[in-house]
Amino acid sequence: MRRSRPRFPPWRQNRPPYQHSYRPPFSQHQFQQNQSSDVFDFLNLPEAFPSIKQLFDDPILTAIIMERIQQITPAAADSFALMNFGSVIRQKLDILVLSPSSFTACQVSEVRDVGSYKHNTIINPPIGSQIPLTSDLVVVLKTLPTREAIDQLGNRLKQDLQNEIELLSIRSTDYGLSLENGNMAVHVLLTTLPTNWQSLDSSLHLDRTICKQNFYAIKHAKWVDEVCIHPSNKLLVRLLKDLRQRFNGLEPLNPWLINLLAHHCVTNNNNSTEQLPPSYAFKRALQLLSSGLFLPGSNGLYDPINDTYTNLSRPKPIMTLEEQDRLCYTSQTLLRALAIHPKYVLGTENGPDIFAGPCELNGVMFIANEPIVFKDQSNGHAIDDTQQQAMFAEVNS
Amino acid sequence: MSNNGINYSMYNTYPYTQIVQQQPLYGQRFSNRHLQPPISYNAGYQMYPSMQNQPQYNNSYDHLIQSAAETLAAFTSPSEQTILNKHQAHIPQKNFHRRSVNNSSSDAKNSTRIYYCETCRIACGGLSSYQAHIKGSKHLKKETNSQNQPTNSNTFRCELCDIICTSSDAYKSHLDGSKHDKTVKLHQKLGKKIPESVQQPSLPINESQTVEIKEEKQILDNNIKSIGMEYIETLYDNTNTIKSYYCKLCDCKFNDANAKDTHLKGKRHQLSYKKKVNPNFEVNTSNNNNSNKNKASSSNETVKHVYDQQINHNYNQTETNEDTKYLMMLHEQIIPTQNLLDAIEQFVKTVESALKSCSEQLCSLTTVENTELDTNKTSLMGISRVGLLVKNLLIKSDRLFHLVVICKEWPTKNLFQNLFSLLCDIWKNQTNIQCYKHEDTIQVYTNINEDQMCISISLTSLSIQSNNDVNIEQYLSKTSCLNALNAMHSVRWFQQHVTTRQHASALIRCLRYKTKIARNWQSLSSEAIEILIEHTLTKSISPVIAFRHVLEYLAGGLILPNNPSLRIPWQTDSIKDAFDNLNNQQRNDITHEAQIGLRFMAFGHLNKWFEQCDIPQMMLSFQKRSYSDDDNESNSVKRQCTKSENIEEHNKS
Repeated sequence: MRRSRPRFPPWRQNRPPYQHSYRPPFSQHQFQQNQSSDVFDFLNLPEAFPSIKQLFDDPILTAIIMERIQQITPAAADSFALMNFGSVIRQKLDILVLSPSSFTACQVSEVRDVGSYKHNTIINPPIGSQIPLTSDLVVVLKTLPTREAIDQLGNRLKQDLQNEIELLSIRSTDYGLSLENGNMAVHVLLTTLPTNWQSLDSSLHLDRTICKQNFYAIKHAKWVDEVCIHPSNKLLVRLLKDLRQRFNGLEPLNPWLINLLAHHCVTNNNNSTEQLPPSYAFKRALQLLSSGLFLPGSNGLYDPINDTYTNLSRPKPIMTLEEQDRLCYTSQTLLRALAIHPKYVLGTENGPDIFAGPCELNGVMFIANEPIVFKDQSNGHAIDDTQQQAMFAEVNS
Repeated sequence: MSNNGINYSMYNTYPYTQIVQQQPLYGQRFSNRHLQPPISYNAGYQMYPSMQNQPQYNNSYDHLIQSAAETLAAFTSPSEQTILNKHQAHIPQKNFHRRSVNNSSSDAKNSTRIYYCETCRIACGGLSSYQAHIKGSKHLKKETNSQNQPTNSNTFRCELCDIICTSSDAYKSHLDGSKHDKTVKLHQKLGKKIPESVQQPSLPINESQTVEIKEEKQILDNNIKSIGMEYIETLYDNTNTIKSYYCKLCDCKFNDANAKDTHLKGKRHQLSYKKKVNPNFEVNTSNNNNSNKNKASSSNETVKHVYDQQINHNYNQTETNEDTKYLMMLHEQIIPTQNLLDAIEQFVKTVESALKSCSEQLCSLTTVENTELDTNKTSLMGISRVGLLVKNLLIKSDRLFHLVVICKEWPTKNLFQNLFSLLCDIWKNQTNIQCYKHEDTIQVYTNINEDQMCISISLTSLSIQSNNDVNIEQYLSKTSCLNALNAMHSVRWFQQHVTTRQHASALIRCLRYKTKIARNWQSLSSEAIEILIEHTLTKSISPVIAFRHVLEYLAGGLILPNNPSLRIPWQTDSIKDAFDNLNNQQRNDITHEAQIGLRFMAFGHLNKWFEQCDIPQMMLSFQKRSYSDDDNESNSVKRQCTKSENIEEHNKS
């Protein structure tokens, strides 16, 4: 408790050298300017924006949303088939857990369902694409996930499943295994126990970051299962996934962030317990993204698994600056388009490609936002003072 | 003024020039939440010159706490004295107290009393051990130490854990550490207040209470210019984020921008700059003397001094921020010069006195016609400056000012015509003043220093609000009268709410500058900006964050059709939308521009946003006026004036 002396002697007052090894300098910090705050949210300032009361339910938008949900939800037969496929594979993996001696290449500790299928937020893949409906399983190994072990696990599964499923193809990917059966797929995400993480070598084993991701997927799934139960929440997750599928600028928004965002938008209702209807929550999600929720200088969303805010997560920032910018300007453009032409944004009606160039939407000249940070640009460059003064608009009188 | 017995009053006619120059651009006294006392309303209030010589509010704040404590003490039993002590924690005599969480009244959850020594930051298990601790030599030593403790040190201090770190890095790493975590948890358990800065690791150096930096060093930092910026190399990592800075001259590396800035101002860097680059460069060696003096004086000072220092510190903190620096620089450049303000003031005065004499003539006209009437009764009741002029929001390019003549009754077209002809008569002989009629307003143009200015005079009456008649032929149109009234209300609201906020005017000017240079923002009215700034400044502590919040508001679709819009605060009887008059295209454009601005700001390129200007015609009027062709110029300016006039009209309706 008590601390009267500084931790380090005066000549070591700066960060001690050994800390560098496990805590790299916080590169994002340059842009946070030591001050980050919560992003603006209409719900936090109801007194200034009284008209919010009437906007809770937007009948026009609700109708469009319902129409779109119909379109993107997979047919019952499809999801039944996917369930069968997934449960067969699960059975086989469970056998490996129960009788480890029957398989020597690796030892399976546990198998868990994760992902959109488990949470009932799965959506149809885009029409015309070859991407199958997928469900995800996380397999935690007790042993190290070497490439050979993964291949052997694949072979073993293939042997076991040979008689039950036709048209089975198995390939190993950088996250584990992918089992495909025509228009269905099951992704087996492999990981290992956290105690093994230190001894992972990317030349021999699965990549460490991927192992961590897969492991965290279990925790995320638990949280989503427990907390995100409101139908409005699930609806919003579907809508956002659909949006991400159609506008590739939203790509940086990974499924976990989508879940967090949806949960935030539906439930964080200015200290009231009332859950917001999907029409308002959808708009709110886009508003938050447009107000720079994930831009530097904002806290981002609270991540209950890491117990920190997403933008402040230390070891590795969730997005690069380029991705932050891309996510922000795409959602800003979509937000403006939503106000003018909601059917286009939600995908129930075709329109001109708003990202292609200036176009006319419902009588309004519409220009998409442009990126300001580029991949190849040294985006952290400090402002050049002389240039700053020279470029400045002359206002002498 | 009332020599003739005319009931003629002048509103809002403080000499403008004195006021605007004294406004805090980015005020010396930067107040934050902790230091903002309830009475600080007067502190930043620079409107009336008489108030400027008021004693610093710090004293009164102390006084306030003191008296509050005394009053409380008079009404409370002695056992509650500890709470008061806690309130006065900055007074070192009563440095420890027994904090018992589990009084039967307070908290039923905890089952044990916790004894906590404030001085040594130790929690004791029981009363006996606590007393033993109090009597112990360690505690006594601590206590004497803490009383002699110098208030100034070049350190960061974590109040909670009582840890002194000499650099911000060490401080940050402490805040991340487990020890600090534990302390925070204990304090939470005890129900003690945790200093704001300690709660969030991301905000290590903003609050005054934890962080104290040598005042003299700060002052020096401001005085010394950084040199040899070009010898700094910025290193990036794979993700293109800044990893570190490297000074080629001195062969050293820095992990953050602040360290780099400090280094650039440092003596070592200056010396090596002199040695390697420019032998003529003068290294300032008098620093030491200065700082010694300061030290001597500062250690003698009292609590007040500490306050000053903290304020100073905060001020400097904001200044280190790139965006703040940029906004300050921008503001420097757009604020009108004294000469210009004098010219404007003179012009406005001329027009006002002309209107006054018009009123007298009108009055005499009516009295001649019907002598039974009371001589005090005149159709014109007063004159009021409205708009930017009286709100002190002028920027250099503003050339259009507004006056409102308040009439007793709903002004008739006849009256308007009379007034116009009288005004024309007055200026018949003066070549540089012209008078035009434009719809329901009278526009007076003049040339000052080859610079055309315009005053738009509109007529209104207070009785018009209660009058429900629709437009009648003989009267001026109701909307224009209501607009003028609205402008007057807006001024009153502004003076009550916005002028009291320290950085409001500067921020509004910066945003207004953007409305002048960006086509997308042309339809954004000054009133709307004022309301937004007022909202944000109530919420956020620093001007930059307030600025960012405004952009967030707009970028988040505040004014898009079908979204929550902004209420006009001075219209209390009905909820009215500040953006009612905008069409979808304008709403879309404003949002678009704000979205770009927000992203520029977030990525540290605020300057680029202000440099983008897509209105070449506007830029002409910014430049020094030396046109050969007078006609062209007056035309363009007139166009500009009428254009902004239209916008103004739009916004008020």
